[in-house]
Amino acid sequence: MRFLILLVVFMVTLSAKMQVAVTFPYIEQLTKVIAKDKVKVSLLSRGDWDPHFVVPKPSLVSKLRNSDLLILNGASLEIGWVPPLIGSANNPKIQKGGKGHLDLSQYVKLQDIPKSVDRSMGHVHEEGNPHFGVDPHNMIPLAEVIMLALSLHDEKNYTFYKKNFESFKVHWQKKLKTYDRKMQKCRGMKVVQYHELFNYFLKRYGITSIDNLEPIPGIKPNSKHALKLVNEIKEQGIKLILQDVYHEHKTADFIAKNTGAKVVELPHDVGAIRGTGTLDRFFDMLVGRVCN
Amino acid sequence: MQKILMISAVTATMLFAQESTQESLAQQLEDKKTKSAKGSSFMPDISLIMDVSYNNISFDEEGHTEHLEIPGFVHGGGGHGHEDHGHTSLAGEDGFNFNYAELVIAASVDNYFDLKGVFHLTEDDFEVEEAFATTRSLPYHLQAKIGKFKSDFGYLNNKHRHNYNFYESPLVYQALLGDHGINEIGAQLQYVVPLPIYLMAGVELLNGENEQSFGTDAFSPHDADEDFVGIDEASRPALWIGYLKSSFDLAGGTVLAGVSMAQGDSRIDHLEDEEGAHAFSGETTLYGADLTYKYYFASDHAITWQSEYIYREMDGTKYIPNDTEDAWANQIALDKEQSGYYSELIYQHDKNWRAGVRYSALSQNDITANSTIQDMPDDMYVTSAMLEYNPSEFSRLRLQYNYNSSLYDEDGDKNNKNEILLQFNYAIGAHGAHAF
Repeated sequence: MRFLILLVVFMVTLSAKMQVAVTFPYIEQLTKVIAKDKVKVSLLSRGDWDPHFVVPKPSLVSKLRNSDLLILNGASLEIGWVPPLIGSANNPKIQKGGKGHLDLSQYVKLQDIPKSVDRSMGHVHEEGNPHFGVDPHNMIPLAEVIMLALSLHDEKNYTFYKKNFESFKVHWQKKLKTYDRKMQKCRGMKVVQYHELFNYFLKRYGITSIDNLEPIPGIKPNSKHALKLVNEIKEQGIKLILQDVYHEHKTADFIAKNTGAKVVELPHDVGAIRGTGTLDRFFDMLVGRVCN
Repeated sequence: MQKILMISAVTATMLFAQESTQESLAQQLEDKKTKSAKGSSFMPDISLIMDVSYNNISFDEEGHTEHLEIPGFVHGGGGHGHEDHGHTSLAGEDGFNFNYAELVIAASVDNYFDLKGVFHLTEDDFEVEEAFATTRSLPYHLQAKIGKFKSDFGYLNNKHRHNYNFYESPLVYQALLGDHGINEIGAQLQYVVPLPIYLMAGVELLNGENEQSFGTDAFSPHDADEDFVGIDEASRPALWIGYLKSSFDLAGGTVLAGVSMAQGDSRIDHLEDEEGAHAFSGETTLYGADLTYKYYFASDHAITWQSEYIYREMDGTKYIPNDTEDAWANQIALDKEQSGYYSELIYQHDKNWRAGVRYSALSQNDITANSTIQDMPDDMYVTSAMLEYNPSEFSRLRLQYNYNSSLYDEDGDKNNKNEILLQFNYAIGAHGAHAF
């Protein structure tokens, strides 16, 4: 009898799925690629939102409360909304320093690290630019980190996760070859962008971002800066203005009208634009829209 | 026997193997960290917030502003009541106001606790607004807090002033809880209930000092004889608070709802007042209900409707001192049943612009003294409208207009106040993000 009870308890524990909370859609995709149906993944934001300013809704607290693992982008990208959520989830596992707190930025070589920071410089991140999720070459290393973290929590499925990672790796290496080939012809191109959202992607493919529509990070464009951009774009013969989905489009349209440069709306994450519901489609669109 | 030995051996090997896989996985993960990620600083988050305003105040009856009161709630309007407290009077201060500077220092103590200190600085005073430790790793989804902190009673009580949507707290808060709300020394325990929706239950045990509703200090007339029997102090902690808060998504927006209760001893000492000196000893219970609905068109484009209702029941004895004899001149059995509410609508256009209106009223003012119903007004209200421009997340300019119809003069007539406020608020340093 006792054995039976133990067995039941054992079965229940086995069948209880591991719960993982992730801050952004690209992390959700990577996690699902590795974990398939072995874990329950809760996404805390949406791909078409400004990743800096997700609203810390208490309804998100209930997702964090029961999570065994929280995977975040890090580098202060979520500083405005994840800390208050963690603060009220009463879940020691996912606290910073806890076993279930995985900060992906710690596994990426960050770029644009400022030599000094001051608020007069706008919304700068002292750790460096946190938008590394737009570089397709970061996906395999990040998938491996997620695979290791999942295995650490759920060791009995280590071989399963490892196998899924290996097949993702093979698939993604093929994708990277295609992307690298397609992007080859755009090497040396010059662009302007709204916010320093696509730096990792642009640097990867030798594209120079001359200036941003924001005069400084996090501050709205003004007419003086827009006129300066118009001159810059004319002087340097820039063809593309990279626009994200969550900032206003008026400034970009104004500059385009006065320069002849083209505005392209780019997805910054999975699901930012219709038709970018998976990692493959997201990067397909990013590559296709920057370089065609 | 042999079987058992074998099973043990196999189990041990398996356990050992498991252990080593764990270690190797952890090591692999650690090795993947980039160098720059490994160091971190031990410097706590330090921030300073400064708030100044230009206030333009006018009254319907400019000659009758010396003895303003909110009858049955707040008296001593000329500012003579609480000199030691340094608060502005009900009349307010015309011209430039240095409202406060707030210094916040916060960091993790260790793996088990976080510590936060909030220091409220006015021109002449340094107050510990909050200083508390919070647990990080209690089991069973519990979190405890100890120190001096703003209670989680209601919706607005735990918010700091720079996080308000208007210049000041609403009339019902000022009338029932005073300028600082329930801000007390004590302990708190909160539990997040395991449900798919957010549900949090909390209890607090606090000393119980509040200028409007609670208090524990003994009192007697200041020139009383030694053998005069005054009122003993209440044993501390004297204030219990409990609440339930829930949140869920509804029709594309988010609902946040809560019910709260606070019960404690009241010792309210106004024996030093120049006019109408008195004191009160008894028990006070507060019931609060709050409801917030936020709808987001985008993360920086939203509309919020927020309302709160508070009911107060005070039961005790009012003591009137006597100038000539060392005995109470009068003792009155006092029973107050009062309530008020506020409701506000805030529209956030983008990161820079916000506008809002608020209506706050005291709608119930039932007072009986020695079983006789008192004739008290219950038509006090304040209407406010504000427009905000936030050049960045760290600076704010706010223009606000208040029509304050809650003040009565010494003749028992209403004296309406018009206020135009231009408020400047700045923050520097590392300041943790605010909760919803």
